Amino acid sequence: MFVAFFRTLILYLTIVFGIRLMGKRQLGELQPSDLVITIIISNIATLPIEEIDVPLFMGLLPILTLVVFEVIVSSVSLRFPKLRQLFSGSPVVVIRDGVIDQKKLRELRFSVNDLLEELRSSQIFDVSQVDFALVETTGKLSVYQKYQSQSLTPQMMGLPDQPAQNSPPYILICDGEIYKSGLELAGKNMNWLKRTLEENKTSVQAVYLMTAEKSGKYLIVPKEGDA
Amino acid sequence: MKRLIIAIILMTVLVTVCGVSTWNLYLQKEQLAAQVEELRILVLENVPRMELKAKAEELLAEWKQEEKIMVIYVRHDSLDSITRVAASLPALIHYEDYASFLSQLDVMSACLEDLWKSNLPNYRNLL
Repeated sequence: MFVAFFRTLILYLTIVFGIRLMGKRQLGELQPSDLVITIIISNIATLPIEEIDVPLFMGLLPILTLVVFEVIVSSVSLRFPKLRQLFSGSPVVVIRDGVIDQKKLRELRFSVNDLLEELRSSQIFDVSQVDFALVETTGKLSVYQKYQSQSLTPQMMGLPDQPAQNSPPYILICDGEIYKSGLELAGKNMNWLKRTLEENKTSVQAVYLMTAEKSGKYLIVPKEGDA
Repeated sequence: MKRLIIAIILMTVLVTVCGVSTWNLYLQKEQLAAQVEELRILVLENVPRMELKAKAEELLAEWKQEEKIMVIYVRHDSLDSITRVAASLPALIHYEDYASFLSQLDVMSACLEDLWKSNLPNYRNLL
């Protein structure tokens, strides 16, 4: 039993080290330790299933060990930044004031094409528009554009804030069922809902989708065949 | 914080389970090894066949009892090899094949020792 326990820990640390060594390019969205947990658990879980000779406990113990170890490491990392850096790495600045840091890119084994591809996925086609870009510990590129290249916002134009305009459309009715939480979020009540449905000459059961914003704007999609 | 406490408790439980299972394995191994050794001495002392057979059956029954617990945490193929040896002992005594009986006792001792060693967290098993 101790063999399975210690082997799991050794494997975990080895794979985290391996993933960290491979660098951010190998990561998708996950942190290195998350990725390792995913890889190992998916493999361990199949062992007791495939081999009847292996006791189920031999599969459960490593999985629980990994999960518990991960929780402990992530909790301890919150207190000790050095440990967090060891397990997850740290973000790396690759563009500063429109200038690409080629040395850092080489260290990350990012080609300029990779960088441009990431920029394009953020709707940026000109490096000089970038004020600041960094490769996150997950391998994703985060970009902050220069002021002149940023999209125009009401704040830039000095327009006053309109909280009612900030509300997204909330779902009130979905497939003939009322969503009370949506009603609350939109600041509406059942009386308003009934009244609105009557005004539109429909009923709850006949509505496929109904959304509403705090401003009062609403959308009703009737069920096909019931309209 | 709650999650960390649960994790620490779980880790303690896991380490305890590992410790208890290893300790249990050690105790069972010691007990069975003593019984095997006793059988060997009885054969060399020319004890009557029926008494030997009874002792061998006792060993088999004891092993079957222990096996029921061990299957939870030990790979079954290791246990199966010991079961095969233990099951052959009464028949070997019955037909007075003492040479094979002694050799099977040696096999059983080796299997028990191997079972114990393979569950120790030493460098040989970890690497």
